[in-house]
Amino acid sequence: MPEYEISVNKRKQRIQVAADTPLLWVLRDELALVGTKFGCGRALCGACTVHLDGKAVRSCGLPVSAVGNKEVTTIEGLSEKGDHPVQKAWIEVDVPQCGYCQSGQIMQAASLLAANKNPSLAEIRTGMIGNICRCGTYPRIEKAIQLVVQQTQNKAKESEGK
Amino acid sequence: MSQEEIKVVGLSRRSWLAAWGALGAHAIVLGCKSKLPRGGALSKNEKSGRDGAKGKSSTAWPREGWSEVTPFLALDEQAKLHIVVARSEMGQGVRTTMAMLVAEELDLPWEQVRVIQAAGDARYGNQNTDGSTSARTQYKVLRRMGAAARMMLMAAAAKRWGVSAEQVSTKEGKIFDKSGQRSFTYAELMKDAAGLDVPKKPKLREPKDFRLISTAVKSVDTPAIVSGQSRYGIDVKLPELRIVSVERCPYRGGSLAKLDKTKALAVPGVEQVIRLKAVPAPVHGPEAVAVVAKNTWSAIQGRRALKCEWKPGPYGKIDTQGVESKLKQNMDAAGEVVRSSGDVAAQLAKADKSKKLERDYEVGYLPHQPMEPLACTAWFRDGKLEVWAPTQAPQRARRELAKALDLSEDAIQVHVTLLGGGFGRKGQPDFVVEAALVAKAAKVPVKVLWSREDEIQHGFYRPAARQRLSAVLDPQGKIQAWQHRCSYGSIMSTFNPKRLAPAGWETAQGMTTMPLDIPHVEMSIVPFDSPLRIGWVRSVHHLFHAQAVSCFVDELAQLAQQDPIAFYLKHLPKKKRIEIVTADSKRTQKVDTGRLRAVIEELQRRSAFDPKKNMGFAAHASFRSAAAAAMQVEVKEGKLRVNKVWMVVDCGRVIHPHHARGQVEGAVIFGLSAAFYGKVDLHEGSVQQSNFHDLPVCRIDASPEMDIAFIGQELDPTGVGEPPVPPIAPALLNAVFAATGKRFYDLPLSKHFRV
Repeated sequence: MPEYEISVNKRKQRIQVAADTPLLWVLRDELALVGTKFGCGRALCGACTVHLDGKAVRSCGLPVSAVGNKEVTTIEGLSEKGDHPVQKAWIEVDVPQCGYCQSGQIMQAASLLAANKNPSLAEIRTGMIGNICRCGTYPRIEKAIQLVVQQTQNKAKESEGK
Repeated sequence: MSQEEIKVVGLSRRSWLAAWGALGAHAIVLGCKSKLPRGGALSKNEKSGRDGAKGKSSTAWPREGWSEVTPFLALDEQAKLHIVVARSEMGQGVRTTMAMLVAEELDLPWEQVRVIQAAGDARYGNQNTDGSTSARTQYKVLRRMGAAARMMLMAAAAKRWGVSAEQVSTKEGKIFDKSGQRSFTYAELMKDAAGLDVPKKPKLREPKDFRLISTAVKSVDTPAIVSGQSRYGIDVKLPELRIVSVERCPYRGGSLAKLDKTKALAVPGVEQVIRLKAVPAPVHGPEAVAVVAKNTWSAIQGRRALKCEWKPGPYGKIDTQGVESKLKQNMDAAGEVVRSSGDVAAQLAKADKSKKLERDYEVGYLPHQPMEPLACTAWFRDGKLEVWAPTQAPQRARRELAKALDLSEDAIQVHVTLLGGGFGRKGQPDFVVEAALVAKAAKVPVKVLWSREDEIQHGFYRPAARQRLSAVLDPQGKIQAWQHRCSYGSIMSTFNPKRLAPAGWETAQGMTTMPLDIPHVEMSIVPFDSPLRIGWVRSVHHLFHAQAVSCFVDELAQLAQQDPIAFYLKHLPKKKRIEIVTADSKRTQKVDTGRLRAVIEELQRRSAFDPKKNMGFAAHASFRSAAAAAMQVEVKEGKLRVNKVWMVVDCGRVIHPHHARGQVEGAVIFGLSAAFYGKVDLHEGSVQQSNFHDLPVCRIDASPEMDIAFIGQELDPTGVGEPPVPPIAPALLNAVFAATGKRFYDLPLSKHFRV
């Protein structure tokens, strides 16, 4: 069994697994990071979304051998105290219903906002289209992302004022 | 279950389970005991569909009468409330709303509340999280518990001050005397209050004094969810836990003819391959082969390497086409009359062709697709079984485990995890029993993980159904005669495979409960032997009954050249509530026509309903609530888009406005998903769809603008998880007609449009 060293949430991890093992199962089974969820196994639903060098990827379709020296970030590592602006907005809007897809939604939203600080509603929808929520929290996801945008802009204005 | 079937009982601090946390030196602990339904702790469905299978029942309490007592809430030394929630959380916010009810009456700050999830135990009363019942049945029970504890604290304060209990009042964790000069915190009184008797009839607060109810307090689970710390069925960890992937027989009632496990066992990490026998009704576990491995990927790879040859059972040759043509034939078969008045046949025979309408409506098998596929962890050791399951029905699971493993219920613990969605699928015990059988055979703790394909292909589906509606209009354009015939597989067949005809409670889900005032009515059903297992999917048979009835009334309004809402209201009885006598149920069926009228009138006002603006309408009463929907659509170059949905719901008092609204928003998305895509196909007895690519659900781009309103707040709560779903498909279909001039009678709509 080959050995891999990958960096997850800024910690180096050594694991021995089959080369084609999807990152999802490495995270969940080997590293006990179960915040990343399994939903379809075919990169169709987004429940398993993590960041690879800050960009959202589906960990269920990414073999561990393809991770290389890229930094993996999971929901557990998005912020130290669960206080990333997206997480804070998610709490303020109280987005989740069952919550199962929300790690993936949050990781996708964080990646979207890192690339585009001021997405339009259409851009939010395009950016989030790969993430299914069966409870139907879509209106709240939109609202929370728009809240982050607004808060970021308010902050920027404040610092300009200073 | 009515409100009175749980009793509040005072308990000693020692009866609190250590695992639930320390309470300190002084604490109020209240327990509950529940009235077991006659005939034992079986649900109504189970009783009427009993298969006669023998199982060892628990010896802990009698099968009738009152159960033993179990702790239910504690107010600890620091006046922190620990409350057991006995219902399952699957996104409806039940852990928050149930705790709110107790905290409200206790007059406690919300920050001092902590929720403990109950294991499956009949002492809690009915734990089935289904039928949109939690708020309705627990509304007073839980408040009584909180009120009892508050009265004990007030009595303790009154004694200290030497005044009567009427002289003291509470506010957010503190007690004041009438002068307002003196006060205690609850914590300061715990020692005195803990020893007092529990009041027999705790007085509940007046709704005008509610402080938490009807406010959107912070959800108890949200912080853990957004930081990835919440734990679902799939997340359970145990020492030496093995992961299992199961290959199940693709044919209902089929069997394993040949198994070659050599290659599977050669996959690194695979440790065992176990054959599983079929489990009879009501579990309906198929014959299967379980691959036990060190980790998930090995289990998945091992399963792929299995070579199984399956022998098709009695349903092995059936295709979707066969199902549909049989259902169609059934429209002309002699049905069992389930509701009848007047003489429909004579009315139909003599009616002028231009005043008559006959339409057939078709839907297919619908799976649930919760985001968390099924998963269950089981550990069998020393003759005892422990399982961790995302179950909507832990007591049912426990009973079926007892039967399948030949154990006493006392030897079984069913822990309830968070559910990553349920929608009815996780009320079935099949996945729990399966995991336990694997654990017993494998002699290690196991987690059986279902793939998305497994979930879609081994479901308990909303049945495929065909309905024929015929009606006659009188010269004034009023409906004179109404005939409704249905054929579909009954949920009763899940409990007793020989029972094929829908039961009275099934037809009462929107068919026999059709509330319109029509002189001649005839309704009948024709049984159908389903090649797939049948179950309940969010809002159950209301889904397709409401669709047919609402679309048909819309088309009758068109025939009468009247506005759809005006036409509907004209036929709706003016009484607040009507009672309908049916032939298939001993109970009369009640419909709150007053609530139905009120939601429709409010909808009409809010939406400025106008069919010329591509708008469609539907309304339906279910789970003791009423919901009306209007939808505005556009169709461009074959692409159908829902622009806006208006919904007015009367579910009585809304306990948590944010969650209630979330249920309605979710119902809109759920209803649209079912109407756009919801159908699995059969080929030679097995399900063809497999994942979200060939059985899509709505994504964020399909989420329409929503205008949602609640009315009827002066009444006690009724259901909200399911009632907003039934009007969605018909409102959509009626809107499609308004936009295109074409009517569609078969779902899903993806057959006719890009959606």
